[in-house]
Amino acid sequence: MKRSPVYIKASSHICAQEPFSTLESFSPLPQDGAMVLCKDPDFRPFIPPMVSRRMNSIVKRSIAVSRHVLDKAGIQSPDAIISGTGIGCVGDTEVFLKQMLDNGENMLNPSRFICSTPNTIGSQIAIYLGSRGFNSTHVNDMFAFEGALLESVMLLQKGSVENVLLCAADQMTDGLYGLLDRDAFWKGIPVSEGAVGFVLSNSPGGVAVDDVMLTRSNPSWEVDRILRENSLEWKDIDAVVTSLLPGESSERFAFVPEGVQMLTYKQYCGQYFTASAFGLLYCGEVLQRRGKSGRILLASCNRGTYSFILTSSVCTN
Amino acid sequence: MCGRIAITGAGIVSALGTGLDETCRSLMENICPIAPPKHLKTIHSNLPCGEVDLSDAQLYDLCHEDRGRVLSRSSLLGIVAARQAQEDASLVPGDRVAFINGTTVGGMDITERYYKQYFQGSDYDALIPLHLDGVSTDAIADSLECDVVFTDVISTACSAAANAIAMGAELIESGRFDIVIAGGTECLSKYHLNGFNSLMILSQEPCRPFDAGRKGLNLGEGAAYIVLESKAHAKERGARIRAFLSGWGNTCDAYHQTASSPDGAGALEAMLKAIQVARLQPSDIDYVNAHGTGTENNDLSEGKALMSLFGDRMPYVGSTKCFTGHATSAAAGLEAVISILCLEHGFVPANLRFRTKDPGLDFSPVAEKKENIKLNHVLSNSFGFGGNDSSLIFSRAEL
Repeated sequence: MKRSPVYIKASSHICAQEPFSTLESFSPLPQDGAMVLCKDPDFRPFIPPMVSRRMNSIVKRSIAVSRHVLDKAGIQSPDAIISGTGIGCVGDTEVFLKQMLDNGENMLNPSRFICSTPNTIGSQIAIYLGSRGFNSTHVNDMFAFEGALLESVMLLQKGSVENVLLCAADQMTDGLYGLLDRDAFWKGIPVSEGAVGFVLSNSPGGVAVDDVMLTRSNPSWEVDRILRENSLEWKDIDAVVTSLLPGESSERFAFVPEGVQMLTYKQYCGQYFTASAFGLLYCGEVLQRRGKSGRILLASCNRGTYSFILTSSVCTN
Repeated sequence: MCGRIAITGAGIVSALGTGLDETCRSLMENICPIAPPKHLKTIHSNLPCGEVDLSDAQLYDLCHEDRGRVLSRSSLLGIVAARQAQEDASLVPGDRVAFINGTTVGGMDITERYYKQYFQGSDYDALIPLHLDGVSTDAIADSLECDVVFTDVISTACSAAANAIAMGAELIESGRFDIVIAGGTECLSKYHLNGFNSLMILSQEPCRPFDAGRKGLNLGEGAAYIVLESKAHAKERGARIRAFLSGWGNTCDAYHQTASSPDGAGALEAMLKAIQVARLQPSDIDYVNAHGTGTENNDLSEGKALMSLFGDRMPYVGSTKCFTGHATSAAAGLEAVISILCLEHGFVPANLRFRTKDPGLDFSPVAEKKENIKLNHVLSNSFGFGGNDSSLIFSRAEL
């Protein structure tokens, strides 16, 4: 079934690249660095210093990127706020956990516990913006962003809302890095962190998200379905942007026919749970600069599960 | 539009027992399992909980899982409930299913046990990923016989399972899936018992929702899932329909990270949305399975919202957390299954230990169980930290 697309009205990021920067200024991260942290902006234009002092870095970045992207889209308060985070406010979780393990189960400070649930991000954005609309948080590891995007798309297609603020964020700490470093998945590229925001709308204009789905089954079946339901063939796809790390074998994306251009984005944002949100931002940046209509498939793979996001732009010139 | 999403299966494990029959019997017989924790190793023996009375070892046996494979207690509870739901709906290999899980604690029980060892060597490296909500969710999906081709995990604290069920409903309504298993799982852990204790909202006695003398909540644990299908798909495969999910509403109170607004604005809005989606009137609601945690703040705020919504035509209102404790991210799953049992068996469980009406509220909850009554529509509330308020409406199968 061909469904109506939703449109990216604006996107923005705070990550290892210069905050809020665009494609022209993206530069590959140093390959020797084990962990590359966010380049934080001056938060004062977005959050009063008195308020931001009490916030952890992931909430601060999420609020700043949300305000930035809403300004770009010319929206004050979104109809819905949908968040994706792989591991949430892990810094506060670590502090509360260590206090409990070191000092026993007494005299614990509640403030770290309060901030440690993943939905702190989405609810703090809502409290800050005074947005009482739909609010949800997806936490499915490397596919937390895709879950949040799919829910956004469903609400927009149904017409339950006219616009959605979609925010994907993860933070990296020394403690978490020390644990993730044991897993091959996190090797070969700097481990990083980031917050990426989008304003999505069901009114036409801008880069379109035509389809989003993830599958634990055969990835080539799912790609075939996406192409068929959108009345497309492989020749209509200008590029496949994958979650591959630089130098990684593209074997897991063997279903992409030869001759289709393959691009990657993690050389710019590093590896983190919701990096695919940066991948979507990257697709949008590339499409906007083509000067003609185009189509990009964003494809990710982790532990045998694949996700696909089909994006397109229509040239109006 | 009532009856668009059919519920063709349900599974539950909680302090009330394992399975639909045991749960129903415990509710009918006013059996209150809230007691000091037995399986959770904690110094807080003064804090009664709604603990599932099965050790991890017993849960492994119940799941037929190899004890050599480490699983979080959330996963083990989830496997028990999800398999029941699958069997209840007669799902078989080849059925293409989406699994939407609500959880927050995830594998914290494993992390808090081994965290220090993680930094002292590599012996426990394989356990590190179990912390992730997605990994504990995939363990449940992998244990099912039907083809779970899609998983998603929602964490909106104490309303997570309600939002998982709503996401499932959207997947069906949009035609993306014919069958969805949705609900939530949460195990007791030292981390979240101590977290709630640090907030000073835990009661040292079994909780008394809506009572003027209430002293806080009891944490609980458990897992519960329901099988959602489009009505057409359920009829086509001849599935037995237990009830319908007819409405769902989600709002954000946007007031405070851990407190509800005094007038219950977010709660009221969530209930109104659910009623609107169901194309019903407030007067159609026969029973409200309240969030009713037993904290001063929640019950007053939720009560005010109920008064605004129903005025002087208050339906039966009660909280079943006096039986199960507050199973946080799994709570809305447990209460979804309990709401379905109430519709099927025509009863409203007692709001146990209610003695004195709250002077701030002009209604009392159902102090005594009501039996042999006909319920058409049950509204179930779940409100989470951060003001993540959600309401679901379940409707009788024979409407």
